[in-house]
Amino acid sequence: MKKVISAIFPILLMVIASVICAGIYLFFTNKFSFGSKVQNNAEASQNMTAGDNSIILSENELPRIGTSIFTQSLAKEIIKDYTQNPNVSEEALSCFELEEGYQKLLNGEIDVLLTTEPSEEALSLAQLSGTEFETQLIAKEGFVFYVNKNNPVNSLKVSQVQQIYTGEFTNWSQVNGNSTDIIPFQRVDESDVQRQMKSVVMKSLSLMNPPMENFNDKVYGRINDVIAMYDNSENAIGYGLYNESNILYNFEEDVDNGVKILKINDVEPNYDSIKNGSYPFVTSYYLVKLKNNSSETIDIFKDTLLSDRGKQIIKEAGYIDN
Amino acid sequence: MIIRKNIKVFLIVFLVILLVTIGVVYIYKNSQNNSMGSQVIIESVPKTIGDSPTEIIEPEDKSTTGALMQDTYENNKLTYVYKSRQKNGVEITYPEISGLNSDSIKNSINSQISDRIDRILDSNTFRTNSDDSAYVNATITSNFSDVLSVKIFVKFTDSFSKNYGVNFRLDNGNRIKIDDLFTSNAPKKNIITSSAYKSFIVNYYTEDGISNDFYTNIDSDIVNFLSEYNSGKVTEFSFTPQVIELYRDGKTVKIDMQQYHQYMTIYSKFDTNEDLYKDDYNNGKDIPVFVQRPECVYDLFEKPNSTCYIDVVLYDKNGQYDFSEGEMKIIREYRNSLYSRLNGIRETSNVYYSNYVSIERKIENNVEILVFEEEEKFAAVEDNFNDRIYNQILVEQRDVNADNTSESKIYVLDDDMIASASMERKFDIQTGNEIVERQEGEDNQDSENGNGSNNSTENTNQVTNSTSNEVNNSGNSVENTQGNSVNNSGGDIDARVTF
Repeated sequence: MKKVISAIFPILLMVIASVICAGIYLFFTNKFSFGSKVQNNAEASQNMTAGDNSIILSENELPRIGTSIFTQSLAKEIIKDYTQNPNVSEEALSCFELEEGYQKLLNGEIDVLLTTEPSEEALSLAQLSGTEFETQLIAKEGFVFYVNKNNPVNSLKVSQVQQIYTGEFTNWSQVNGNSTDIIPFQRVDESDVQRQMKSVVMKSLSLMNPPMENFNDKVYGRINDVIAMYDNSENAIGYGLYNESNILYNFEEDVDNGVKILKINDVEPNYDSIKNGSYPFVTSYYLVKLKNNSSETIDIFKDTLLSDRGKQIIKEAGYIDN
Repeated sequence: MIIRKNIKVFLIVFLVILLVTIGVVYIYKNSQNNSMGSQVIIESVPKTIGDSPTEIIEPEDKSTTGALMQDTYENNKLTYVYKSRQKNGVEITYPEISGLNSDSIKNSINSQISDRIDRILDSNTFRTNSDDSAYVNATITSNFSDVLSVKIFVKFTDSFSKNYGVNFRLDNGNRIKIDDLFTSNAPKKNIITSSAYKSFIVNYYTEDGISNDFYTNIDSDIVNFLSEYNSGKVTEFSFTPQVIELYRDGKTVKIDMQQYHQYMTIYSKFDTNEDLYKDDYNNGKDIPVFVQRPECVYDLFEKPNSTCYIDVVLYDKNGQYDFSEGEMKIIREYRNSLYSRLNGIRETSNVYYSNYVSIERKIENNVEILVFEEEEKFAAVEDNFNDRIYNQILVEQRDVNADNTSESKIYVLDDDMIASASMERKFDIQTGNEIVERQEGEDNQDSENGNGSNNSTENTNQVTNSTSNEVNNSGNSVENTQGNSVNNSGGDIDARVTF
């Protein structure tokens, strides 16, 4: 009996010790896992609460927001974050064309407008209404030029861009490219992009006449003399705002006949170069409200947008925070 | 020594047990982690499905290349009829397919078409935005290369309508996704952007030219559509052999397939080379890609040799395509007879032959009859067929407007190359027998009946019998054969095409 006990006892001891060791192992490994989960949640929570960001608003509590087509995606991201709801209703924001947005602001149909700098026409409208706009710079974006990815030209100088679009340069060989004609596509007059092209790129220079096209519609038949849309042919050049262009064109490398964004003065348009001003063509977006509108909702909206939380939203939406 | 030895054994056994225990725990823990990893992947799948243009994920991705301009395609031997029904007072016209070997696939496709229409009519969008004038008209826009495309036009009110689409592989009845229409390396955004611009321009086109709204709205129209496309919300589409139409919120973007032919895969991607169909007649085959065939009950297109081009369709003159089974039997026999008559042409060279046969119901002498009216045209040259005839016709057919569906395209050629003829044949719908008429004062030569069962009556048309070698380009000629067993007109056609 004693022999049996003396033989079993060490085995029992060994098993108990093993179980204890395994328990300790599991405890420590689980602790680290749980610890990292807690840490991640804390980080996430901290991102959410940076600045004055514990605020979560319902769509009804937001100011009535107007946008231009080029700030629409930014506004959607702002609303998603402020409401913590991934679905933005169509009623939450209204998209307007140019002066129409300012007119809606003056009429009191919207509270704030996310758009480019007020034009002379918009300022005149405010003056006529006996009021003023209050503008706050909130985000920037690169104004980019693009070509077919097979075009050997990778960079243009500011002056070369201007010479192409005044019609002075007509052949890619004049800017170290192939000896083929340049087709300098433009945007339709009165569009926001075209206005930016004139103010940000051409300054006081006059744009040449744009290429026109005729085409055959399968239903309507022949349609003549419309301004030609960038076609990404090998000698084409076009332009637009970065985010808009990224929506419209394949900038990825893995497609055939993709589109390539040009450097300007050898500077690539990216977050750093636009933020530090080394990329020369930059469009700025403003939060515009009426100066005499002192709504607390608007102030909360604006302050949050200028906080770290707001900057993060702007960055994640593909824009450059101020 | 014994104790030391026991301690040694104890320690060794203890270490072994310890290692085994920890090993088991480690393996168990890793297996737990792996399952957690899988779970993450599984959890991400629904998101992908939700974001994808259509809800059906196809595991198979046959590598395909785009279409070359010299490629050809074949019509499916699939038949369909248009039917009507009502749902909640809304009149619905829809196609019902037949002729597939697999009844389950046929039934699946028919019910998917019907279900799609029902879901549209049950949607809040339709219920809240439609009025008494609403109706649904679903039409087949493509029936080739083992795929089927159905466009569903939904009129909500007099001023608002929307298009939808359902598209199928005929080998398994599964739905086709938008991405299936393009090669994997296609710059799809570039293509859709350019196409959207041209498609939306027409919305601003007025009698006085382009309206001012175009200049302020076109950018946002395009950006909005492309944003929707990029986020997977453009899921509705249909296609013809020429054009892909993408639908979203009442807007349509039309992509000219020919312009982007190197990225277009639909002619080959689901073409199985398998026998999917019950019928075995030769219909449209060797059709050049991007040529839109007219809507018809039968399409007998073929190119039997490098310089012979046969272009024959049988179409409903009233555009109803609601033939009964008895009428379809007559049409099939007519088609077979016509097909046999073409043998004479198949062996010729440097000739283009087109015959657009309209089918019409009439009542004559209290008898319901089916009237087949042929409009034959021939074009022939001594040499250089491709440049002088074929390429011109090809360009014309690829450029034709979508609504120009039943006209012969031969008018693009010089008049001196063309000769035309027409004739009419009538069939009793009840008996299926041909009604052969004779014109008074004309030659009373008996018409032979291919199956021996036709009735001879007075004929208002000139009869050309099977042995005649006369060239008759202006008068009416009646082929005096019926059914598919007789082919006695080859000499006649040969004579015509060697003018």
